[in-house]
Amino acid sequence: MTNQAIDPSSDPHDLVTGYVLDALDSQELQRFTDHLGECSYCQEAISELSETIASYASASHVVPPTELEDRLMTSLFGESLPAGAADIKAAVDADSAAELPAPIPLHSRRRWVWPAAAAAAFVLGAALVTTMGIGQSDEAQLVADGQAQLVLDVAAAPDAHSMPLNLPTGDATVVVSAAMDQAAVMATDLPMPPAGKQYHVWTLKSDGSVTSAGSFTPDAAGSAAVMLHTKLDNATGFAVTVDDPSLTQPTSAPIAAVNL
Amino acid sequence: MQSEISNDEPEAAASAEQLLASCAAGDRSAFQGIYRMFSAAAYGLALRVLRDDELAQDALQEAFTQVWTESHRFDSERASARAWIMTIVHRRSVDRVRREEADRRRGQAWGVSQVETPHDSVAEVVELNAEHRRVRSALAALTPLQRQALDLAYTRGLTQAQIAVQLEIPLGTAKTRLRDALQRLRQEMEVTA
Repeated sequence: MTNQAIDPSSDPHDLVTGYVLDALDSQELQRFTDHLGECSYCQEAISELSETIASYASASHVVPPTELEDRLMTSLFGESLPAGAADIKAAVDADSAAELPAPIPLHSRRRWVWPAAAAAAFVLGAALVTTMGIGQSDEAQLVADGQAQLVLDVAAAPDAHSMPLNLPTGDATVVVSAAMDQAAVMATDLPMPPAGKQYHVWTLKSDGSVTSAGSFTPDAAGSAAVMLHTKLDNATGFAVTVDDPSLTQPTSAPIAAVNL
Repeated sequence: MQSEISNDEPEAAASAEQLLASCAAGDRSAFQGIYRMFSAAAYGLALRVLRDDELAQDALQEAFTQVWTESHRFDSERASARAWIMTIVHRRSVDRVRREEADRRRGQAWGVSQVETPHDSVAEVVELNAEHRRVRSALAALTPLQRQALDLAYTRGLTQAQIAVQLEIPLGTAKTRLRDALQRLRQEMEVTA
């Protein structure tokens, strides 16, 4: 096996695994891509293995900061939102306005106590769910891989503090570690938000301001484990709305809230 | 409702493929739809590989830029939209890791002690839904050495040759181990699909 000439790995077919794992060096990659064009066996193998790897790759989700979407759209299109999406946003805003004539003035409230929340929860509940079993929090059997590792790191912090988020449907918990200055949301059995909307988490600051801590969509099974993009200093609570992820201020009443 | 959505969502998958086709035709809002559909999974993957917010965001921006500019190359007969997109995200992330490799400090941050820790990061997957359980139980069927090799290749971004050096095994052994790991993963996931 020390003789390169008889190393079976010199057979280009043997580079399929390295190729789909992106584990070839540039020479091997060149050799394999030259070979790939004329080898239906390898093309087939790649398409099969890619699906396996895609499952492994998307095992868990972390919501990127909302600015990233703006940055991306601006770099590609020279504007923060494509025209079509702007229309969607306008429709969403119109929608929210219809449901809730006046946006809740979050900054005027010191605590997450919103009389409108129950009504909003009812509206959303009717829109989103029919009858889903609302299981008692099964603690979302968390184990971690790299990305959810971050969520787990917070949950495992010595000073981790978790608080239930009383969503109308599903189980959700906010986990906070002051020492790490980070917070995460773990949830199960969440209904899918309507098209164009996501679960949007907001941080309430002690100065009365509200900032976006990111938004997320649960996976097919209704689960989510996401890091919040927020600093904890001056944070007095979190709230969740269902709205356009690009919003920087909430335009609808929260469906759940928790005080720190 | 649970039983209806416990498997992969064929509807969502189909619409992702349609959205990519629309991207190829220049539909910007379709691209935004693609971004919103996959950005959380993509960011999770980029973070897993890069372990740094800024680097992961750069990789994500590069990856989605590529998704937009190369959407005409997507062929739904050869891959799902998810596989095509996640492949791009992984490649961009690994490219970043390798560029960062020149940075000695990062090399140390990725140090050997971390690799040798009994804490097996591949085996631990968030068990949040049917798919995650599927991945996790499939990983459990791998040998520890196979999981380690897979982790070094896919998550740490090492080449097969680097893995051989790191583990002090012949290159052929490293390749065989990775091939067996991936085949086993695929078989296990087919069994439970």
